Amino acid sequence: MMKSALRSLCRLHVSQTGVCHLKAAPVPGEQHEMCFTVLLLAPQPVDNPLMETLQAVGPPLIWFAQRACRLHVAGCLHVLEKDLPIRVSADKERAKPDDTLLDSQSPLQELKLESIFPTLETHGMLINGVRYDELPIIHIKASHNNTIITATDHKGTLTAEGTVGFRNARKGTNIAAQAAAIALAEKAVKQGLNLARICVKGIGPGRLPAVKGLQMSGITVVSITDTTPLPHNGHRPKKQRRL
Amino acid sequence: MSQNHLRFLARTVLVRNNDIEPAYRVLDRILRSEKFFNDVRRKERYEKPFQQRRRVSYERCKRIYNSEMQRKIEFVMRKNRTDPFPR
Repeated sequence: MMKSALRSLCRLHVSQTGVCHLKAAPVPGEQHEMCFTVLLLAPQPVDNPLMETLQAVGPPLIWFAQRACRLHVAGCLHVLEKDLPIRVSADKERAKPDDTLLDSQSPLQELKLESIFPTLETHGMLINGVRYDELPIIHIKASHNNTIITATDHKGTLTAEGTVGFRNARKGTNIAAQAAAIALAEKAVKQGLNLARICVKGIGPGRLPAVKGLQMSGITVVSITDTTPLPHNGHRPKKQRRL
Repeated sequence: MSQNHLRFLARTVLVRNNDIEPAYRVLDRILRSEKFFNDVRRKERYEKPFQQRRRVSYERCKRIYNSEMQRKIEFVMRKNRTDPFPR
């Protein structure tokens, strides 16, 4: 078993002097490889019984190679899995003993507000017994002509929405936004949604009134996030309006 | 997305004591001073190349003018000299 694991994971050459050359790829079968040289302190393989040596030093070497590969490959795109809210539950199941180095989770702490800007640690902190990244989210989309408010849990499942009967141009006013927020908050509070993170998207007139309406009608706002999309020169937008 | 641009990490403020006004103002001020809203508004509609050239050159002129003017004003308003009348 170990032989195959080694074969898939890395290529190993043990010289007579006990210097061990490892070639490993971060993901088995990937082109990109890395070389490591390890000095073995174990008894030297004089008669070159490669397999015996591997029996002795294999597992730690595999561990080392995996770890080193990950460290090398982990660029700015690498996100600790405990910081990704959706993967947390899945991650707990397949937590392996060799992942202890990465996932040494300290016991969860209550959120302390030292700064008003969150850090990565904030995501694992508790607010009234709920992890920050598992709090429900209220999305506010404030466009020029309308304000759409939805409440979801942390995975994005819809829990509540508010509808108020404004029509046409009156939809896009701050009064309509506030009314919609209050209507949603009533429904949400009935369902036991008291703490929420707020995501605001768009630059319409309903930006602030919607947040205010939520807060006024009994939802405790934990954080406000701006999620306005800004293309890095995406598709070509509509042509200019000519009045 | 890199680590620092995760949702709820970038462009996020925490609210103290359910008091949204100051938190919102901080967020708003940052976005405004970074000209984020202007960028969003500009990218709603296609900006033709000639418009872009004109805008960029106008912005450049304005920046140069403002900084020079600031420098002059600072020079004129300079007060903390040991000897205000050197000659």
